[in-house]
Amino acid sequence: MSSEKTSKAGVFVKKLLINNAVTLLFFVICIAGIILADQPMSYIIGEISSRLFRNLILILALLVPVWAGMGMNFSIVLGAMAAQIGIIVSTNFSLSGIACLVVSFLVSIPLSLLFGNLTGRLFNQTKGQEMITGMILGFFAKGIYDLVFMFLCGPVIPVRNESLLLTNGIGLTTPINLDNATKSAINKIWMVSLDKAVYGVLFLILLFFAARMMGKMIKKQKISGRESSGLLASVLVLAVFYLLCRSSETFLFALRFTDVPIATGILIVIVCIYITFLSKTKLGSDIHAVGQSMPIAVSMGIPADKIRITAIMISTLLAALGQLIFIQDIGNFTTYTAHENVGTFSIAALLVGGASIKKANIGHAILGALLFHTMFIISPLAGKNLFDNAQLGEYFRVFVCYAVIAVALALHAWKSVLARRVEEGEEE
Amino acid sequence: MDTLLHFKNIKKSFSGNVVLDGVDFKIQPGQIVALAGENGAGKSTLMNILFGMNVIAETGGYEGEIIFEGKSVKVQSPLDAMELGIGMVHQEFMLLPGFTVARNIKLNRENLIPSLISRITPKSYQMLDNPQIIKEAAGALGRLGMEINPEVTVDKLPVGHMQFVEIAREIDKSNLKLLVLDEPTAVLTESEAERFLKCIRKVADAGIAVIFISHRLDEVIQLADSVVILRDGQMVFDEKTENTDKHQIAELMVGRKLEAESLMNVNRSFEEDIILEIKHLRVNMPGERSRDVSLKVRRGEILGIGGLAGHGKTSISNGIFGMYPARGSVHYKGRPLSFGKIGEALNQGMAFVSEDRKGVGLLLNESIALNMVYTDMKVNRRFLKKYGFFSQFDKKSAREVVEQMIQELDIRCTGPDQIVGRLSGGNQQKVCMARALITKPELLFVSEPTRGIDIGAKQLLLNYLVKINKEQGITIVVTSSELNELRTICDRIAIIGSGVVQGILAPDAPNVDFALLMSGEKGGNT
Repeated sequence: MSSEKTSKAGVFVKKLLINNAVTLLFFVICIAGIILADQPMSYIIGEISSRLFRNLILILALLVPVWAGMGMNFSIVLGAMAAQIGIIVSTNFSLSGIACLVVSFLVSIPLSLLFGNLTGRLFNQTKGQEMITGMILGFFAKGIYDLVFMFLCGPVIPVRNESLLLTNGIGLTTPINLDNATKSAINKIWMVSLDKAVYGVLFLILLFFAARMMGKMIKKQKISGRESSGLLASVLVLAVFYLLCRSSETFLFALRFTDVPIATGILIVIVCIYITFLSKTKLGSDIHAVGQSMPIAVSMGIPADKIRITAIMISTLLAALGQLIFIQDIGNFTTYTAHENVGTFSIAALLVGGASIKKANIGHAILGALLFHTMFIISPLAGKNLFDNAQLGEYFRVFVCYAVIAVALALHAWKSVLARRVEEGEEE
Repeated sequence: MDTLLHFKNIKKSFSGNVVLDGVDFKIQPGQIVALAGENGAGKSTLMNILFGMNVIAETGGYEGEIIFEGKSVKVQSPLDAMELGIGMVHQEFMLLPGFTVARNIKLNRENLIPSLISRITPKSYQMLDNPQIIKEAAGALGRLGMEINPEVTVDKLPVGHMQFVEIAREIDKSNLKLLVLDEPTAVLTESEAERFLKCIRKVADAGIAVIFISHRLDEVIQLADSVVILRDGQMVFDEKTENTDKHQIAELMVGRKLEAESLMNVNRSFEEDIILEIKHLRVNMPGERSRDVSLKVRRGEILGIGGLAGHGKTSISNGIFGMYPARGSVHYKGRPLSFGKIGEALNQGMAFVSEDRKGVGLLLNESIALNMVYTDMKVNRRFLKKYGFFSQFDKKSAREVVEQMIQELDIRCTGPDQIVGRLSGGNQQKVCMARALITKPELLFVSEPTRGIDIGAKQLLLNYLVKINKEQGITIVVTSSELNELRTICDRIAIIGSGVVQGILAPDAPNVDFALLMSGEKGGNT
């Protein structure tokens, strides 16, 4: 009997380790990297925060197709293209500042919805192979994109803004630079130092829980454990953060040194709220149902094909928004290659955060973005310190990105085998 | 009382093969009708017609009329049936494992409340009204007398409870008038089944008519108001339950009397020379699990394995040949057989003709010749040209044997080089048989030898099995869903029910005995 119990505990620990293997591995790599890189805390915190704001929406764009059982949506590349087309159009009309970004987004909305719809239709023809289809579709779309902007712009499609064209008048120049008023236009609306931002966010969360409790008390409903523990947790985190700031000079300095773009942050929060809200609607419920079992969903009268197309459209639209935020943050983009790595990098980040091709949530996206980009920043520096060769770290981060995807997919397959074995064992 | 549903002279044939021939019966509201019959008697075809499944329209529709609430209806799709108020609980569960019980019960009929966004955008952005969903789901479960927590996800629910959740989903539909239950108690334990039957009674008392398909005759007697029996597509019985009993139903289900002379192997005697002994075999074959099978096969006999679909009869040979994970012990000629290893049984001198002709049995894109000798090449390393470490298929040496087999089995083909995929089902089956025989087995397993092939080929195959048994002394174990086929050629017939051997009967045993064993009533002798 006792051996049975230990084996059960063993299976549990094994499962826990396997379920979080990728995340744990990255955690170790990041800690080791930070020690080896030997950089000032202000530099690391600053870089991580700016990359978090830059990339998070692109990663969030992946969530809905995972719910729908379609795996990682490699075709968010098409959404990125839609955003780039939007920027090219508004640059062509010499727009500048916030207006340029708003017009770019307005242009990319119909485009990304159209691309998403077509992609969804294609995916409905290739059920079960959505990921590889999405990947190849990305390459195919790049071909068309290149054709349009490399050869047709100029001779066939008139371009008003001549600075966009190459000197011979055929094809667009690369990279395309946003002017100074447009670069980081959204970021620049409102910058706050990180320590204040953290205090602000924590207070808002505290207020949120307190308000909910008040509301329930007024309505004389029972207060559930979720509200009270949420309130308690936010008070605790606030206290810990305050103590940390008081006790460590370097920490406080690093936070004060880092400015965060609040407007971009608000956009991210809106996307998060939308995704949370979506999962509580009829549409979200249908998406989850289709993801769990298409035959059952269909037999209950849920139009699975339509739901799957909708999921991809939402994903592509969010990807367009994400790429727009990304480009305004950087200030330029290489015309023909900027979209190439959007899919792979976002997917790798999400997987690092602990998501699988069957399960992903906002928490996975945020944790993944933090870990993945920490690795991105520190690996060249760690490589330089270790081997006196930054190239090695550069190589390492590209290698790791693909390795993560491969390992996560292999682990997923392994997990289902293990789960089946455990199930068979239980049946005895 | 008004008639709710009237099947009026329903006829249906699949490419000339009549499967339903003049089925005609009525159901009143609140009445429970048991629909009984062997596999292939036409029960599922009748239900497919009622639910407007695609297979029916694709194969040319049906004759006759369905009258629902006094109106003649043509059901085009399951959704039509749902709108009429006809619900079905399937044999396999149609529940989403990651959803809660409540969400499963209300799936696609969720209670919704408008949200801020849904006022300006499509309705799909309305929010789920979770408290209301839970309340109504709990209400539906309560009406069944079940206490299941509606907030638990289905994957954490015991299997026995899932059936109740499915019923709750159906009765929660306000327009439900007729509920079809397809072998609902197959997965339930005895006490669960008892509760389940009470639960169905409650449903019927609420004025909902129930069609109850079951092989458990005890349940039929206990629950149903009337019994309809189908046999070979014909309705042979439609009576009130109180006017009949278990034995009559069993007798009628199996029906056809066999002519004594058509039984080929009655009263042959054998010495107790056990060639294969199976002890406590448990095979995990999805949909055909066996739990605890113990059997002895005597040298020289033809042993039949029969039983209803889904009770584990096909898993026995598949387990011995390593196709599915199995436990237990198998002794072949007194020595233990490591049956977990694929190929081990073949190497020991057994052969297997699988029921899955196209999946396991044949290389569809290869020639007849290669298909016939392929196993033998692996097992006995014949028909090979050897060059040191390499070997190559030797067409010439195979040719003679293949041509002889083609002649012997009367395989209609253009020659040994014809691609197997182009042959008819019957001829493909003959190729499978030839492939097994070329390995010169001492013990041959044949699974569903006549499934999906025409009558002429059927008879030839059965005769051939008897012939090789008598002339070459090959011991044969035949698994088949067609009881009469087994009775024609076998010396003994083991009936498998619920994953165990229910009993072993002689081929000339009375119909009733077979029927009772199949429906899980212990009895019979060895």
